[in-house]
Amino acid sequence: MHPIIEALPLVLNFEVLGTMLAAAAFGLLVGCIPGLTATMATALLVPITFFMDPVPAIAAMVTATAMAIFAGDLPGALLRVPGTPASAAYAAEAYAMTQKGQGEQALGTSLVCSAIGGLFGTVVLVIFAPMLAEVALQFTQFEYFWLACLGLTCAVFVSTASPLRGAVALLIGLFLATVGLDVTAGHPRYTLGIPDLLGGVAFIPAMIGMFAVAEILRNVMSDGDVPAPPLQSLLNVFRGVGAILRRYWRGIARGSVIGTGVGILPGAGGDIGAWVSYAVSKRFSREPEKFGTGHVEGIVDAGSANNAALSGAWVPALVFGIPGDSITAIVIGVLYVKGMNPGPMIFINSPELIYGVFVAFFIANLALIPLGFVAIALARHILRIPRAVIWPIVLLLSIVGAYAINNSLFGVVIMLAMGILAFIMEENGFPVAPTILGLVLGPMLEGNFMTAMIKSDGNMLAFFERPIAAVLGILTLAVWFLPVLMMGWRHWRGAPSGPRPA
Amino acid sequence: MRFNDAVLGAALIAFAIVAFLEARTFPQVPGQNYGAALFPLIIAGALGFSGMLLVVSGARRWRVVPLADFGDANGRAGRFFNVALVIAALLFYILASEQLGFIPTAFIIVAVLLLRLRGRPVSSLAIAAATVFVIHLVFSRWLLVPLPWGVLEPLVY
Repeated sequence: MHPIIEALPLVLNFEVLGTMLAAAAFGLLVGCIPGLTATMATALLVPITFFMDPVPAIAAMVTATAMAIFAGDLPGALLRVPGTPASAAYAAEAYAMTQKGQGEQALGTSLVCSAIGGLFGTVVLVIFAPMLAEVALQFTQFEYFWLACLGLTCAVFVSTASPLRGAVALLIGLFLATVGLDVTAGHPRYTLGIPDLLGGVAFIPAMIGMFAVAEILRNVMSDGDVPAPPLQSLLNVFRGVGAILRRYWRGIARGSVIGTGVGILPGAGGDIGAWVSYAVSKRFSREPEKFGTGHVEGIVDAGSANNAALSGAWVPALVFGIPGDSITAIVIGVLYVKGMNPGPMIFINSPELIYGVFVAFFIANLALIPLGFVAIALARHILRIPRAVIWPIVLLLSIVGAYAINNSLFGVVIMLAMGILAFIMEENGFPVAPTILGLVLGPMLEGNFMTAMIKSDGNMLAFFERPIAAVLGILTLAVWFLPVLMMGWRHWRGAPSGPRPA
Repeated sequence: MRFNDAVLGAALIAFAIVAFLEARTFPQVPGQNYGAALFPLIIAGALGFSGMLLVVSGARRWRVVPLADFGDANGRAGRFFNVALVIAALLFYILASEQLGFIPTAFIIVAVLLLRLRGRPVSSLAIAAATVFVIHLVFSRWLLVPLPWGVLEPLVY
């Protein structure tokens, strides 16, 4: 019997399905409210799921994020304000459709495409994760070291237009990961004499700070209340969607593939997947001049892509313990805190967990259609909640969440510090995704690096002796030095280098 | 809160130097060439180098980008007060919650923020009370998080 069928009873029971339903409602609400992101939904869920068994806990996060990414389209279409960054690519397009009286069509299309994209990403995850895990079982510290380097490098380059800013963000995360007792000798590092820091920067309070508190700070700084949603019937959302899907099936396929691929890349998630596939859609469209005027084609591509990216991000997360986006970074951090180290061994030691995740993904994306339909019908009411009410409530939830992990006020201190750090970083154009990746991967990177150094007695050539390690290593070095070579090439050609985006 | 890259770069360099010097004090394990200090030294070095690149890029746009800017994108400095208030609320919770207890502290925080962000005293106080009640119920009663009772302790026990 295939293990996925064996895993069905793990998910198809009252406790897990009930948890998923509650998480779905939470995800739809969070995604629908502009300023609250899918990542924040995960961060706020952690303190609650922390007290659950692994399968319902992960199922809750999978469901909440899938719902939140779709729900982000609702205020995008109705108000031109994306509910989550993943909907930003086509919020203007969907809003233009609403203004033409096609709001139902825009939302119906994005709902169905979200579900299809999510299911496609899940199929890729189910097929490739176990295959990759077989390969990964043969990896040693050398391969893991380069893999972590490559993943972090990728995060630096894809998360922002400025690699320097991405690199600074990553280094801050890696530095924070060194706080606490060191892996080789057990010497306390950078603890400032505070006993609470001996175990390192507590991960869950840190990411609640970076994704919830920073978001609150940014919103109270620039928040104007969003306008009231237009009075338009939103009940016949599936009318005409079949014809759109038939006409633009290529877009669905394209968006799903691009989204999954971008999701697999560490550091890039649904938001970047949506931007890329929207641009690709326009590039290959027969009528690119219609883009931006309320044309559904781009919504098909990008709507599929952001949900596909969500599933794709779990491939490297489960197989190598290298998160594909900020959401899986949080999940991996939580798994570590719970003592379950992600990586290929988890496929052997707790396959029920892996297949439980797969089943949860299928159910969540299938349930997206009916639950998303309800959300569309209720959207106008949810969007009437004044945003000024939201921030104090989210702040209190964050405080309690940061406290609850260790029942320690120090968690709130870490949350505050990381919140201010992330706020200042984002205000100045530094992405926070590399920081959270650095914080999660830092111990693994250092552990593998130190073991490899001691094993090879400092001989850097040993890092390239095994074939896969050599390929990964050369690839990493190529990515590092390519920009320098390109700059040199441009300089040599005498072409002026363009201004750096801030 | 935007800063010129040169300011951020200088701050990073200063931080990297402190981190570097501190890492130099980490002890070596006898008989091993690589110890607790190696990885932090590499990170600190890379941070310092990035800081220098930031200083260079900031210095180029010295005249265009101000050293520090405390307004939002539209230059309305009044919004900055909201940020300070949220941070103050968190500090207040950290300092007061053990003695005062979760319920009074949380109520004060939520009520003050609501009053500042939306006004309307009656409904704000009501929303604050309801929020604190629900969150206390979920975390303290259901998830068994020992939120401090503080001044309310005599009433409970």
